[in-house]
Amino acid sequence: MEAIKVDPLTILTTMFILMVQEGSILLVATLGEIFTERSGILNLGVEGLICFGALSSFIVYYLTGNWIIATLAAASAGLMLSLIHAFVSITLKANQTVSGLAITILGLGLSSFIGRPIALSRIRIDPLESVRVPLLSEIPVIGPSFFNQNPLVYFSYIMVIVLWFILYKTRFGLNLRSVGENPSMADSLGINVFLTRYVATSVGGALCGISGALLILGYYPSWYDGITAGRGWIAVALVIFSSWNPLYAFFGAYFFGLVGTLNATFQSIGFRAIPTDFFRTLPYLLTILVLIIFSSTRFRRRKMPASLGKPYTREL
Amino acid sequence: MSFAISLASIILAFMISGLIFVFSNVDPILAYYNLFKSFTNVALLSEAIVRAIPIMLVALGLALAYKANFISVGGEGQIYVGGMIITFLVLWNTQNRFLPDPFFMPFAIIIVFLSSSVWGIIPAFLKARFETNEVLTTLMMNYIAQIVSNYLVIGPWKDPKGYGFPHSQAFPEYARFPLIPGTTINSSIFIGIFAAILIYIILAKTKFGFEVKVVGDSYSAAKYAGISYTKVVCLVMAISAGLSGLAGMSLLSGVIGRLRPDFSPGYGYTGIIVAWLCNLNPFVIVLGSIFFGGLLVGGEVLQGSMGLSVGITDVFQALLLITTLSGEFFKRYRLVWRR
Repeated sequence: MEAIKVDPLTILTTMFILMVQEGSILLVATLGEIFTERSGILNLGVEGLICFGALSSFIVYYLTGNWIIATLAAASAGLMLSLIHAFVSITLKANQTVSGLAITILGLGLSSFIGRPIALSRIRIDPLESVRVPLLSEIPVIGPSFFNQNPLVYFSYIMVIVLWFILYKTRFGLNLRSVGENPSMADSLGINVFLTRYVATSVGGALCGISGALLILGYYPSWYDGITAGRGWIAVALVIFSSWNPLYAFFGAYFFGLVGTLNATFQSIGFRAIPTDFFRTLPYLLTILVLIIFSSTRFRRRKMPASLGKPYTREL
Repeated sequence: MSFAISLASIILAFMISGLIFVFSNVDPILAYYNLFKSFTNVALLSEAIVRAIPIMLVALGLALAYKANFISVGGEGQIYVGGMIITFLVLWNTQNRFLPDPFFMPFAIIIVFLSSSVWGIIPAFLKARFETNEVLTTLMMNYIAQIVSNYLVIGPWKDPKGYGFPHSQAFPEYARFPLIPGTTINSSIFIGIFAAILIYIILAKTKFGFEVKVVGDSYSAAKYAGISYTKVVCLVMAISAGLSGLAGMSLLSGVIGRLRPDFSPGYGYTGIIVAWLCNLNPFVIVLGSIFFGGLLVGGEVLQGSMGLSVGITDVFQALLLITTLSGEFFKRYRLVWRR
């Protein structure tokens, strides 16, 4: 079969469109997890939160046809599940890794249980329509990919700035970061460690839920088990990659988005020298590679919240 | 007191999932009856034990890793690695006949164990050398192993006489675990029981087991005592992954009889829950695996008879883990009412 001739600019544009779609899903979840981890709580439930958020938004969007309500439903779904994690790991001081794993299994299980009739009925929803940003969308390659997307993608850009501003420019952000670094000192300064951690975990969970809404409403208009395909875990790794900073998360997420789209891109231009399954393993291989580079002490020591994963017990 | 708390945790998990049944318009009593049907019926109990074997092997290995505070979640991927290795050996032996039939299984058990060990040492080494988070690396390796296994079975290893179905050729008789007469249980259960005894001896009676526990309790204490962290986690993961690899082999040689895509329905993840719920105790894990095997069979009964998703067994397992984890708090701390 002869390869279809396409001009490089079109290929690049297509690649970038797919990259932004995939990357935005990762971005919102990564931002949520950054916010949570900055307070010292490690939430490994991201995969489950995204999945449960995705299902909730699917159901609500199917029933109401309103994407804003559907997104809010996804956010509250993520928030509810993350509150369980918060209670178990903040109030009951349990092992956060195990609790997070339990939340992932719970989220995936609940989604599979509740979503079964939908999966069987093969109901589809109409994906959200793109909104063109005037002027900016005229830029070649960047324009059609970054500025002709659905509203939730724009929400993800805004959240990068908002979270960066909250973490670094507000009193609350300062408190949140100090709770993650040294909770007993923060406590002695009159900061409510438990409340701060609860807020950070719930906001993070809500963002993970919204990431699920973005997955469903944006690009995967039908429901099946295992729709999240490890994106939640990649998001957890991206937190390390972005050194717990929302601004770096932007670049990390789109870089991984690009890798995740290589498969589709190579298929569309008729490149078949390498089995497509190889490209499917790339995001996972790359995650391991990124972890190796960014986990070594040189990168991590200064950046990781010092009390990450450690329960706080108030001295009497 | 500790027993009462454990019991309360289990009851709480039952009550919450009961609520989920009620909300989804299902009679909870009937649902629970179906979910635990395996323990009232000999044929189903035998099925439960069949499912318990891979869970047991994974959970026993994980228990050892968790004792060293190495939170591996790589059981699922290691099952696929074990499955690929045994399939490779079968295909190779059908072509070359390099082994007399009776020697094939003992040889295969050793090779599957060792090759899966190598796969398991990777994340252990990465953690020891670069401090990578082992939860993430083992999980990523799960996806990779599953994709590679599915690629092989749909591509180069597909049965040429299989009418295009995505599976390998059937394993010959010499590559199967014989069934225990009168049951559906295959003889790989003895590997599971042997592994339980082995893990118990390692942890309770050997110097290495002591080192594992020191590393698990405190990284710095281990360093101070001159224990090599790298050596301990690599060995622990070699054993853990080896056992999970055997779980994959037990699934193919014991139950399925050929390599199929997505052949493990998440046994690697169930193993994590079993290991924690059984408090990392090898003998309790053997019993716990049978309980969870029964739960999985019950989930299938529920799906068959009441049209509910098997996902409900995951929900129940997760709830059980969360309530048990919460119960730990009340075991560790005594509640004192003040003012």
